[in-house]
Amino acid sequence: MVGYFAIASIQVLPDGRLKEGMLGYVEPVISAFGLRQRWNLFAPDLIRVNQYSTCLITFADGSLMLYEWPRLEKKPVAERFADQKVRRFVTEFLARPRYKDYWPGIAQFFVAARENPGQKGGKVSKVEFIFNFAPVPGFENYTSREALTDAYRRDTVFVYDVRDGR
Amino acid sequence: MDGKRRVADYWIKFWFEPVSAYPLAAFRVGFGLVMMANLLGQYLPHYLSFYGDGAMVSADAIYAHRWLNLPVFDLLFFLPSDSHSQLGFLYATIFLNLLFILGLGTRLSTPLLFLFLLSLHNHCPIILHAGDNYSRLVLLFLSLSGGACGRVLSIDRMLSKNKEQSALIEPVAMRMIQLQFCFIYLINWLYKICGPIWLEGSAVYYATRLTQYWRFDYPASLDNALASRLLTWSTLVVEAALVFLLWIPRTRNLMIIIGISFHLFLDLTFNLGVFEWFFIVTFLLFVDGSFYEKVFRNKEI
Repeated sequence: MVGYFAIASIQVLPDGRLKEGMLGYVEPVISAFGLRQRWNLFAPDLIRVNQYSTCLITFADGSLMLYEWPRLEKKPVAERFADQKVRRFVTEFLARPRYKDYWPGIAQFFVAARENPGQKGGKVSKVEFIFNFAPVPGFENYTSREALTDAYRRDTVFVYDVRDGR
Repeated sequence: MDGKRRVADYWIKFWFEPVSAYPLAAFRVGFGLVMMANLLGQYLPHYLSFYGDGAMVSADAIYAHRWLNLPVFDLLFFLPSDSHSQLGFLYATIFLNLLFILGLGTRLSTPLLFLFLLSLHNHCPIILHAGDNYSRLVLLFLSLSGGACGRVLSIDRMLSKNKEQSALIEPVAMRMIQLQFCFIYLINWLYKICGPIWLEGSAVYYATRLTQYWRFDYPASLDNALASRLLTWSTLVVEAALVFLLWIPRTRNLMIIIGISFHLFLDLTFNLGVFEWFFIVTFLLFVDGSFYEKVFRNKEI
């Protein structure tokens, strides 16, 4: 019991050398029993930006296809519940640069998904990940939910060229 | 010496003195139902996008980047990666969860459910939310309880030849879940009081502006700076109170009502999966055993 809560306490320490050093010793136990935990939801700070992600696919003949990941706020309540895993994946994984090592593999998924002989425009030549964002106005400029902007800025964070394979 | 003995006695009493089996059993049923909503309502609709041959992120990539090629427990690696086999694993998990809710073969179905869930989590950790992590820890504790969670309110009980078997259990698993529950509030509270937005009272404003978390419409009467401040500060007060006052008999029932209301409000406001519901059912563990005894008296379950 004491050991368990010692391991839990190490995991919830603020990021730093102390945590890293101690985690090295207990990581095998954490992995073996599934003891991973983190409990700082919405704390100490919050992201202050709204975002949604799109994927722009370019075909060999130059035609384009834009794929937009589900935007839960635009969906009925029941679908918001069912799409929760996708939301988690897109906003807290795909859109985070710290997970960029995964981006080429995910781009290959889009290439493979369009890999069929009847595909209009021919083979896929390029895949771009675009993150669209709109900062939340500061508290001093209190803005009601209804008055939040619909104007998002786009940021192309990753381009996968099929010929280069990267 | 007396002080040390008193502490030792309290320690033994806290962990090992038999208590009513009903709170843990009621929690098992509630927790299992929330888990079912998670498996059917959130895993199943997009399962093949994240598991098997057609996954957006391959298991090999997760194994290399997330687990750094270290060994992790994952039964899915032993299955063919075609969609039928992978989907079959999810259905098997759902079936085990059904056994768990009904309390059938609890001694075996609970640890099996834990191992299946651990595999689902380790195979694709990139879609897990806090509720998933909490459910995994809870199932580990219940697995180690030797079937205590199925002692009553279960088919095991109805099938038992020994109907006179005591409805008392050693509370180790129950205490671990209760402590884990309060530990989460404590850690979250500590992180919050380190954040300027929580102290200045703007945190609820920022959180309720994030469109990805929107569930139902936010009441217009609460959409102003004063309400935002009051809600932010009351969140800090409620979370701190839950850490300590749930343990005091005189304040326990009030804290259960406040805690459930708090999480219901959060669930209506934020789309955080089933996280809030896992927490709501955990309050069942704090309800006095005598309450359940009255409700279920003379019903041989």
